[in-house]
Amino acid sequence: MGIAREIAVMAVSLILIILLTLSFGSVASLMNPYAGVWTEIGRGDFRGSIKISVKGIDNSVTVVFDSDMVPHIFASSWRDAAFALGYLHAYHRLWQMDIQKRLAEGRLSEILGNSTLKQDIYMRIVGLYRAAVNTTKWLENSYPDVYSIMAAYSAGVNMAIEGMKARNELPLMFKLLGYEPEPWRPEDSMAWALYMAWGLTNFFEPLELTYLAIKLGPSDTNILFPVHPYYGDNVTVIPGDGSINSLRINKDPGYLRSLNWFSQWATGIDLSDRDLAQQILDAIESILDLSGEKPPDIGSNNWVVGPSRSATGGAIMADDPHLPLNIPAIWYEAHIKTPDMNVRGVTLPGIPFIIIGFNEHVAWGLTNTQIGVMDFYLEKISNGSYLYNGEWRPLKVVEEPIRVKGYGVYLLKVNITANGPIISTKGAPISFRWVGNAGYMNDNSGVTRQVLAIYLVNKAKSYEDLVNALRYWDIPSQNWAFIDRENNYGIIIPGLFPYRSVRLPDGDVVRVIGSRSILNGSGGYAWEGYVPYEQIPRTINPQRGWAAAPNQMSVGPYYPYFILGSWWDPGARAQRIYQLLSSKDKHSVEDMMKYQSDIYLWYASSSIPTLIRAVEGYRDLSPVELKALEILRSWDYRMDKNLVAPTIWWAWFSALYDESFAKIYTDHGIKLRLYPTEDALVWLIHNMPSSKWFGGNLSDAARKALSKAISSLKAIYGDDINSWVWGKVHRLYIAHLSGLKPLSIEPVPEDGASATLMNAGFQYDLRNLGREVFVRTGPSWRIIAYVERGSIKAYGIYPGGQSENPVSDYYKNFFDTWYSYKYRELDLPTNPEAVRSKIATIDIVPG
Amino acid sequence: MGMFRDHIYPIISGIIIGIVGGVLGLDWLWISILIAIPLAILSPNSARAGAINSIIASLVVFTAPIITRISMDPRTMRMLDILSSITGLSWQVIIAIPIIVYIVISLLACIAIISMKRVTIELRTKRIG
Repeated sequence: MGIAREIAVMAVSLILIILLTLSFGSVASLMNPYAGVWTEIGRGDFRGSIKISVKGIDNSVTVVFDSDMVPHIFASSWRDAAFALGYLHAYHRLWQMDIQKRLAEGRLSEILGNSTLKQDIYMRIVGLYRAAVNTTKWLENSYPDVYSIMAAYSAGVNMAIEGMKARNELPLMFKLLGYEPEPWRPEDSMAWALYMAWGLTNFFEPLELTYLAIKLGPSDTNILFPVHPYYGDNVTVIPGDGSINSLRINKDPGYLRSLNWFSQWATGIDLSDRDLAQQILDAIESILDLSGEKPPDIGSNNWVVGPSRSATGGAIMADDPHLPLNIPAIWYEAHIKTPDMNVRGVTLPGIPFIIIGFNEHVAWGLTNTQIGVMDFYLEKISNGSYLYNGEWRPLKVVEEPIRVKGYGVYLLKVNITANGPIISTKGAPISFRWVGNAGYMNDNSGVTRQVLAIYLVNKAKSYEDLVNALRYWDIPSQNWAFIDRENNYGIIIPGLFPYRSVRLPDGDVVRVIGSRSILNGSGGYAWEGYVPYEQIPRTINPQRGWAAAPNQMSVGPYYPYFILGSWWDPGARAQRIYQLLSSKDKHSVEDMMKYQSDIYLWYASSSIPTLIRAVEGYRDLSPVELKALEILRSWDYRMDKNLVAPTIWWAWFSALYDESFAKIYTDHGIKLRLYPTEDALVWLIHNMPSSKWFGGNLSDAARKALSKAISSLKAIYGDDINSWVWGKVHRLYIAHLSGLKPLSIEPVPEDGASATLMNAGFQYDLRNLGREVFVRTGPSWRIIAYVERGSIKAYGIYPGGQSENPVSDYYKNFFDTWYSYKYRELDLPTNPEAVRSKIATIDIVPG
Repeated sequence: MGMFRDHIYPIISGIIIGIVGGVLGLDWLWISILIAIPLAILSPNSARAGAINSIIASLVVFTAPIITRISMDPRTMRMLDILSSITGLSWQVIIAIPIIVYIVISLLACIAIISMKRVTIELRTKRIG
């Protein structure tokens, strides 16, 4: 009896232990006083002197951290420096690197389960990882010295991972999500580089315009979405009419712009065929659903000023890329010094190079070019074959097994034609061809050379070196603003720009870049090649003394290739920076800082007087409406978070959008909110006030919109108009990459708008009032570099901090400086002793 | 003397083993069970004594490092605030729940081992008898 009782006690105890472990095991692990979240607390906050012995480097590397935890890496070779950078990236940003890699490679579901399966399917179809593998192989074979930098970087990351695992120091998010990182590989770096490229070039506009052309008709689509921006010609990135090396297009650009590029002669597709059109619509909806919502207002500013227009007599460059703002930030600041290089700026965690920054000889900054480098093709498919150039070819089928946490394996089969992967999941089969998949040889290899380019840029000793390096900059095409210590300055627009020949209705043939519609995929509309580097647009030391590239129209309309895929910013920021740079003879570094924080809204200035005139004659305006007009009359068009006028303007313009397009769109069965950009609405206000868009009368439409705007504001913010300050509507929220609110930066009132130089992306949509809709894009990094007495100096800042550790002092310590438009001085110390305000040193020695 | 033999020695041995396990980076489950082994061996063959000893030993092993961290490093409270915001629980509860789990598991392990000891003794007694 006694034995039985004891055995029963034993059994019950063991069962309870098992039950408790199963029920609370993950929580108990997380809170383990020895190995739980507590070990995260000091991770990456380096202090004092540390010495580590490692395998994988040739000589000792010294890393000195300044008081902002920015590493200054002193190494005898770039390979060793890359090892150290990999180690530091991992210590400060490992989870960010891991989740970004998974996003790029379509592997989120492995850790997040079914909820991210659609995203993974999308990325597997796009095939960034396939391209990354091929590019890495190519790099290893063709440029082993550059590959060895990537390999050393991976080794550094992996050493940090092993160290963190051994000390139970893996970042909090790994513990919360219950998984561990895998070893890092050069392919992972390449995949993230390609994801960045994809994010900056995946223009789905040809699909959206085809959708509108079918629903609304080509003519109206062309009015709302003109071939080139309405206000673009006078503010192009490259000054002049667009001709290059005495080459110019052989047709009148006005004629080309007026053509219906949705016609069968242009696309090989008869959109008037109702059955086919319906199949295309279904396919487009499936693609847009799969790809999800894109962050609004991705763009950037940069400009350069030559010595003749500089207050100090030295060239100046300003750059601020507008990207989604998250924490941890997309950028990580670093300084690398080797015997043949001394370079500083921001890196992308996962990639061992300075992406935007400066060295002792040159400084460079990037903005997105926004020229179409992706076309969509309607395929003819039957029994596993597709029709191409008159013959049926077998589809290439790539199997992509996706592991889904809690569900097993989802086997995706990607069908690929000569044009590219088929991306539609319903309706007509539509494939896409993107330069990142096509590769620099246009052979579908997916091999692109931007890593080689950025390696050479980091080492450039003059602007000529930089320009030569950029011949390898394949994707994403960017406006590269640069200065060098000899006071040369300019902007060049490198990238792979695919062209094809189109026979026009009058029988002439022109070469076009990009498309406005889906194209016939069965042959005749394929890319013929890429624009040769010598014909890439550039302006070097322009006569007027400055150049600017805030994503506007790249070149004048006489460029030898007609740019049909022109997804440029409509140009409000360009108009404003042109205004500022023309406003005085000499500009100082302080002026550049003011320009980067400029919040003047060109669209407001160019339409408010007309709108006020349109409505002020109405006798039934309420006292609040009259007061609103009075406020707008005395406004200086600055989108200041403390002013009321920006709120009234934004609400009025948003209501006018709805007044102009909502009913017509509904009548045509348009379910997608594809409203035109602001320039088109401003153009309609000035040029078509009696059009159907305003119900035949702009005044009536503006009057109704004003009434709707004011009543909406009153409903949300009360009757006191003086309390409707812009900062209540327009709030910035820098969310943690996981979306977890406690790890995010609390929402704060924010200046600016989508189209001010100080970009703060926010849609014109009255439904946003009173809702949790925030500014989530903006200047992800601000840098101003300038030449002073033959040396390059710089200031810079990004929102966030160096460490992803949420309790670190360096988690968000840059935010307040960035938010108040201040900068940090960036220097280029030549030895460890010269680093200012150092707080820690790591000596990495070969072991 | 009985107090030392029945409680103090077993508790101290449990604490030492537990801390060594923690410092070696063992999982919390193994630490809880490790604590129970010397406790059960050194404690009298009474479930009550074993339970008291194991509660005291595991309480010390699991709370001491947290109290030390909170008092030494202000970032610990930041972490607790974050976890509190994520879970919606107060930081005291966040700390208490897993510690209770560790203690209960240690206690159950201790009782199980003491029962095993008793069975062994019983069987040996029967064989001798």
